[in-house]
Amino acid sequence: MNPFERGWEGAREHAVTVLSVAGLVVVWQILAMIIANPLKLPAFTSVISALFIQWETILWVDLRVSLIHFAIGMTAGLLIALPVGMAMGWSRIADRIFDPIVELIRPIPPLAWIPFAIIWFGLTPQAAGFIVFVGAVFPILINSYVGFRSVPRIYVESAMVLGATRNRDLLRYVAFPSALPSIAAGIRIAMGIAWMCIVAAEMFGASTRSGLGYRLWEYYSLHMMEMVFLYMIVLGLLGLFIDRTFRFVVQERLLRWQEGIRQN
Amino acid sequence: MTALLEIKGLSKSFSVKGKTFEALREVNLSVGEKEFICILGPSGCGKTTLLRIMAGLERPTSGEVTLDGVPIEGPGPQRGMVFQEYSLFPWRTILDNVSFGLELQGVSKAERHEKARRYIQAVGLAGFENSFPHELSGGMKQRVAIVRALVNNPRALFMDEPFGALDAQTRNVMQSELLRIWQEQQKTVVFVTHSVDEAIYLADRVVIMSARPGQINKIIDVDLPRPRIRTSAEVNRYRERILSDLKILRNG
Repeated sequence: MNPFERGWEGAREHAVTVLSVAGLVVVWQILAMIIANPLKLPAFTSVISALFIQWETILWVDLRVSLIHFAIGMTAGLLIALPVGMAMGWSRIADRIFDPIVELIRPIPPLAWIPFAIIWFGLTPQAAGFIVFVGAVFPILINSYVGFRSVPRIYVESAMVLGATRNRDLLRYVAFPSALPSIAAGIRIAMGIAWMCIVAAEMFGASTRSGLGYRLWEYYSLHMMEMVFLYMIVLGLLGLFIDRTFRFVVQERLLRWQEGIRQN
Repeated sequence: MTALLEIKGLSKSFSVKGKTFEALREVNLSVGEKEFICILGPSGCGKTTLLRIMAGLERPTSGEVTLDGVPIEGPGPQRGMVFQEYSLFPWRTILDNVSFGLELQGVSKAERHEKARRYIQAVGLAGFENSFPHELSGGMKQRVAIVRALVNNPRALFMDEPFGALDAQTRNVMQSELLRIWQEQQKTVVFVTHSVDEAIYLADRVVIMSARPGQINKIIDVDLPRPRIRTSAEVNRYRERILSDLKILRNG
């Protein structure tokens, strides 16, 4: 296939995507006009005008605050989950010590921690960040554990006969790169859960009085449903953006070696 | 010939589900400097176990292996190993796989890449430096595995059926290539195989092992100049002899 044809193929694929989204918008608009009740289904056009009124607040206040919650929770989650998952996957003793603790705490839904988050941290970004942390920590931990547990023995032994006899070297040169695909998958799952936790934590007011989730609930109380819809769309698009960016960075850069292995 | 490797009174038993299984009993062998030894035997005769003990990946139950008179306590870059399975690190390029040993020794990036490049070139893989292992064929992967071990400049190279997974054609090519490398590098090679033909084509001495318990049954000097012709009368005579030895072992 020559570059021109490939370009044409690509353009056609994009055209289908654009048309499919446009179709959804048209159906939505027609439905809203038939229902004619902005409380039940605000029209596409009114959501767009809401965007024109609201975009500065969204961008500079709510988005910023929500991303702070996200960053606090994910960072704390990574800092705890990676070392603990690594220790549990690599050493049988660490596995025995941590496993019962993890298995007892893990089934508690993250949102059940909201009261304690507020008591411990007050109405601060750290409180919402803590909820995000609880949601994010376990998928990363479990996946790191699985990754480090299932390092193929042949790689460990190859490294040993090549001179990697210290545990530190084996972890750094063999176990970590071998576990990386599993860790990356865990982080991806964690980010999805974190995004849900942010909305819930903010709706419960477990932070300063802002954030995408907080604002969404506020507008619901005011029955301004076009605003609610607008915030839902922003949350959806942002979640998509974060996931795609992560996938691109990790798979194109860090896990390039996996290409082709996955297909086989 | 001075002995490089000495195996003295080596025994190894495993415990599997409470039952003790004797993998090796009283193995004695001395391997000379620059010698090419093939260990031949049926599956379950402990040949792989013997090699793994020599590499330091397993501890013997009793007896010891020494290299230059120093007992082997664990794995190390002094003794290279090539495994039957593909053992290249899939997350490293060919260049980074080959320079791994040097990286561990703290050799600078420029220097280790330069050296690795030379080795990669020597086995005809120039142009694949930045490829990942999954992009290479089985024979190419094993070539990389061999030079990855050689880059460390080990005293001895241990090979555990390294060509077992290759097709017959590639296998023959790899055997000739290995002999060329061995002659150039002047290394001691201990090569485990269950192929009689492979052993006769490669070895200075063929060590025949028997199973249950694993022990050395016979050592045959292959007194033929290289390159050996696989179908020559002399090679056939050796084949005949070794096959009949193996048959006697099988029939008790």
